[in-house]
Amino acid sequence: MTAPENSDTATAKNRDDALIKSALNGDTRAFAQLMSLYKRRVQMLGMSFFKNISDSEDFVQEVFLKVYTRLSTFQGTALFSTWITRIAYNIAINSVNRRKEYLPIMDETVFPDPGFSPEEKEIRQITIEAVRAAIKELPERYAVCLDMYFFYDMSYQEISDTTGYPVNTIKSHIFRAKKILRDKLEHLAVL
Amino acid sequence: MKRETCNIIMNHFLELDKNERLPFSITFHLLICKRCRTQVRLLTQAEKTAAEPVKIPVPLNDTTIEAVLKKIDPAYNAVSGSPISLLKWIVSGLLMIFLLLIFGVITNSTSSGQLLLVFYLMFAILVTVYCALFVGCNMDFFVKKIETLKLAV
Repeated sequence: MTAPENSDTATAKNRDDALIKSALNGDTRAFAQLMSLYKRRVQMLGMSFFKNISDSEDFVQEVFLKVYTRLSTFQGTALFSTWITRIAYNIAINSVNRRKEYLPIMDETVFPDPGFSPEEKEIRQITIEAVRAAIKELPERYAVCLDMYFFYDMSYQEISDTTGYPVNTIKSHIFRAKKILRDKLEHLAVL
Repeated sequence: MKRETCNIIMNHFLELDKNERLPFSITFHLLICKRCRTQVRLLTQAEKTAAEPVKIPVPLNDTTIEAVLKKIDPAYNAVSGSPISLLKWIVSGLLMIFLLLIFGVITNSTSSGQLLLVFYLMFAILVTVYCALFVGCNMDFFVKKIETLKLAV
């Protein structure tokens, strides 16, 4: 939403570029590091589509094998995280095993805790509730867009490139979710 | 009137994309409106904390990572890397002590005191360099050992 994150993005991009280069030169450990960095993202997407751990693990393996075979086609125009999410999304959508409905990220327990303070935990819980409330008002197929924006840290354009939905549609749904979030955060503002 | 301005500004803010720069109109309003400033701070924090867990790396010895890498490279071993071998260090250390003793025995009765001092100083420097190289080359090993001990305590 604001500019300071840009430096983090640039650092992550440089790190990923170096790892991709090493992986393309046959360094398997570099690819292992890429997997370590992005496995959680793919796994969470898998849980939303397959709704069980076993199928999600198979899905993660399938995604990373595909990423490995297509690594040389990554041009660096998008972030690696976006590229990998796009591959994962396409595999999930086309998978015969996937459940019909997308299960949005709703359960706090599925997330690892990176050591949040009590205030951050509360804010996070409120965010989940706000996204949940916004999703209830939307056609089911757009739930993934809200998840991608809030939980996968993707921009409107990245979400649009991944899902194929128009940017303006995505933008308006996310705007509604942000409004709900703002209202829910209101009580923290008066403290 | 002020409330209306706040709503317009906040709506404008909510339309912004990830990492999008704040327009001047919003920045200016935030400077003078504490209520909107707090809302923006909370919303920014909410987005940041929401996306945080997905960025936590999983350990390299994760079973899925190992399974994928085994398919890519059957010779892959997550733990191995470059195993530390102390053999060459022990051999060279023993050799150094042996030479030192031999030198001591040979020069015990014959050499002058000054010459012995020079040689012993040289040996002292050699031992120091050896120890420094030993620790320096195996720094990773020592750091991990110390961290493990700390955790055990």
